[in-house]
Amino acid sequence: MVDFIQIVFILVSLFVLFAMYMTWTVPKTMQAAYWLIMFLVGIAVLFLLANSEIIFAFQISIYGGGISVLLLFAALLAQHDDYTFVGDSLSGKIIAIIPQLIAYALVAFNLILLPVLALTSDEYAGNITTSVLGDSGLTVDQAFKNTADFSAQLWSTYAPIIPFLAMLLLTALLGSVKLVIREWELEELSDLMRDRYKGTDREVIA
Amino acid sequence: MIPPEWYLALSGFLFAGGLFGVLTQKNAMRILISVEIMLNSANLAFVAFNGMFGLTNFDGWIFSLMVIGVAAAEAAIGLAIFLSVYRNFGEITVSNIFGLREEKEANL
Repeated sequence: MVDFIQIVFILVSLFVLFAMYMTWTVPKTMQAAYWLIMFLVGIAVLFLLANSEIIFAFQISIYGGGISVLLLFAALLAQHDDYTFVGDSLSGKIIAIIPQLIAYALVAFNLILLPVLALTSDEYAGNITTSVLGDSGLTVDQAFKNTADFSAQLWSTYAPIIPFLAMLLLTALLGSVKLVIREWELEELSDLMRDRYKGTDREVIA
Repeated sequence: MIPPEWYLALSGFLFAGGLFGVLTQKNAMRILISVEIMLNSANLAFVAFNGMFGLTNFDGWIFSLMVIGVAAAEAAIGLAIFLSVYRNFGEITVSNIFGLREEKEANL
């Protein structure tokens, strides 16, 4: 018997799969970025359903906030939209979509088969009774306790991860700023861009 | 209660979708979006494995946090590279961009 929380999971999963499909097929990159935001929010809800409240918070703040804004600005600054996913004509669409669907089905089947076979085997069958995925009986107090335990483990066993992540993010920040503020001389540019700026009196492109 | 297999099956579908996007898309932005989809599917699997045996150990959550941090760094540096490429080539269609080196060095 399918309970309420399982129905919610199925609906959110369908939404997430639909959002993923839309990121491939919408004609404009900007729209693909919007659908990615929808996808990320859907994944965040799935984290919440798995009783992972702190990961839900990370997902919304870092992915839904930071990375999405980066993607939207990049789409605005480097817009390039001459795009068709499966060809223009109907026959072109059919010819293009069949091998792509077969390729997707093969990859998905292989990725899903092994873990599902393993989890449904006799070896694991008796061990997954403690699963908390979709357990609607857990209280808010329990959620705070889980977050506290998570933090304790993060700052003890996995403490070296924190400076590693901090250094990685700092390096990425400085590197991306250095890349973006670099000034290009006209002869460094491609023929297309050199022609575009030739009529102007600019010697460097920033 | 949601069976763990459901989470893993969804994670497999999403990872395959992200891989499919990386292999089929031509616009660099869309390739990055597909990579984000793959990273999210991995996060989903981490969270599912973590919750499968109760919430006494949080290794899966910690790895999810690490993946989110790495994804943020990857998005920042990737988008900066795309902007740089766009400024140089006027487009970010990966099939039309054949080199990042300067002409003079490439001819040596």
